[in-house]
Amino acid sequence: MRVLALAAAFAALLLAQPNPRVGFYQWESPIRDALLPSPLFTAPSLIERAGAGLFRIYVGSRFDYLHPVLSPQRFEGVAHCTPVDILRLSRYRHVVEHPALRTIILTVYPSRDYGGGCDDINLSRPGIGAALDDEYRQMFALSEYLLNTYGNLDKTVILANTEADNRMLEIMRHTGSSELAIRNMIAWQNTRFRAVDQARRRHPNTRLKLLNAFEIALVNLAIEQQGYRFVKSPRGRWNALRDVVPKASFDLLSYSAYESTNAPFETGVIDSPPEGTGQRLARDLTLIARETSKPVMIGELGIPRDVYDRLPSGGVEPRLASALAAIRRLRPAYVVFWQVYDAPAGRLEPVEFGWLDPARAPSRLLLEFVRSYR
Amino acid sequence: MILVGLLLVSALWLSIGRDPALAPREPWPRGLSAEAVALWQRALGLTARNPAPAILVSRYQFEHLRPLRSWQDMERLRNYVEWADRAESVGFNGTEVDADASTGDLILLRLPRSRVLVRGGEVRDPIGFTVLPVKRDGRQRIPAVQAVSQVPVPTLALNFPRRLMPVIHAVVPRSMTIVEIYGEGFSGSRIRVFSEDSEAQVLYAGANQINAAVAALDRVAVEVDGFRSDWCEVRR
Repeated sequence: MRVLALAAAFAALLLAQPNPRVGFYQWESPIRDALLPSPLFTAPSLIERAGAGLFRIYVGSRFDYLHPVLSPQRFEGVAHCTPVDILRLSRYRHVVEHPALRTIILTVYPSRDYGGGCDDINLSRPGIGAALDDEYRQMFALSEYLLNTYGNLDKTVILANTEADNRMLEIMRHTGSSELAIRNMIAWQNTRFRAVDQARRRHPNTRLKLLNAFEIALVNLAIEQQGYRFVKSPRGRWNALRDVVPKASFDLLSYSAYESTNAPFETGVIDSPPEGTGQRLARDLTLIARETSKPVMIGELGIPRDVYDRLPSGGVEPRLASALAAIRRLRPAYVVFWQVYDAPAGRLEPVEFGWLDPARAPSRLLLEFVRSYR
Repeated sequence: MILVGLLLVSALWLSIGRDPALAPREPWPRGLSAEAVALWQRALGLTARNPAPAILVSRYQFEHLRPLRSWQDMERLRNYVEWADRAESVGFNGTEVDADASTGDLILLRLPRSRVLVRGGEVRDPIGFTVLPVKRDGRQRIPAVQAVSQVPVPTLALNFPRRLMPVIHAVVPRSMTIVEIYGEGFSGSRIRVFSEDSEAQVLYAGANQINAAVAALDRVAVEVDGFRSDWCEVRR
């Protein structure tokens, strides 16, 4: 009887802790008065209140969670905007140091100045040796900074990219060469992993766990050349899962599940039966697991309410229920929901992705999942 | 010195009689679809990903851009925006471009071609902005002096058509001789379908789908009231 009571108390205590395997992304800053001075200050408490212990943010030079993307005012007063320079800013430190956040995923992009100020490192060139040197230096410096500064914290920090397939598509469109895109993507990811790994080897006894994730987006679709243009297509030839993953090193493979959650890839028709959402997600997670021996995580899972709640076939809730059932069955290492707040309106794109946006009550289904997916 | 002199003279000449109140509020005509307006806003840099005046763009894509045939030549406009609306910027201070670039790049200056004084090699893009060549890899300064001018961008004729140009999204074979053509801008009084050099028989024509009997399953173009789409290969 006492053992049972102790076990129940232990389980209750565990469930009361923020869940480090589940959390939320916040990409671009929604510029709203209610969120000033920065969503990086406001989002962690919303995440904690939801019972989650994971937060994913962007650490790169294209936006600073204060100004719009590529605003000339971004990172005013910051000399170089390398990832370490950025992470030293108080709003970013607030995220890393927040006691409820046991898992922090940083979508990290080292920077270079091509004449117009800080920007992501350009991979659309045949010779990217110097760019990879910068990538290595900045990724290594970031890893060292994290291990030195936060090495005694019981946290996991995952350094990731965002959707390698889109980066490959950009390179192909810029250069006309699929071969160059694949080659540069492999070299880039291996450089990033090497930097993280070498820093880890210098700090073997830290409590902080530092990992590197490689994120892909396309599983069933791939990139196809139509005339001079490169497009995503069910009949496509190249994607990161097929062409990069087998030759790249990483600790985790991250899947940005937008392709799978929101529409059948064959048709792209969003008004389809909600129960298909989980079937597709399960299919894709199974396919991905066949391509790697490393743990798989869901790096992004989002369903915009302003689009899906209007569909005759059913809104966000039944689709979410279907997706969550698939996740419970396949048990990916981490699950990241896209995203905390709604996106800024006025761009002819879906807006209401925000799972925890104060504009509405959060989904009970989601909250129950966040607390119970251990 | 010559460039500076030219700049001052042209500024003085063009400023005479200039009345800002006469400037049109929107550089595109009324009646365009919401998507067309959104694309023009991005093309002109009004809602572009990067509002900077000088953008690093692809030489490969530029070589394949084609002239616009109407304000709603959607496929070519989308291709233009895909090429021009890039995040990567370079420096521009009104007299020179400062860029770390490669020969696979070009520099798009969001200024009318007639408002930029350069040494040579520059060209005009499909809507009238200036495109500078990159002649070597690495960090470089390219002289490009911004002059004053009333020439607007886009530099399209006043009577430029507004009509939706036919665009083929996909051609799917239904048999050895019949294809289903999916796209937009297929509404009109005279619909024709071409398969390579021969004209095909139109079996059905709707706003977004045409069925036709073709001589060969290779590539197809649709012509609506005399305006022809780009060729599209039949899916196999």
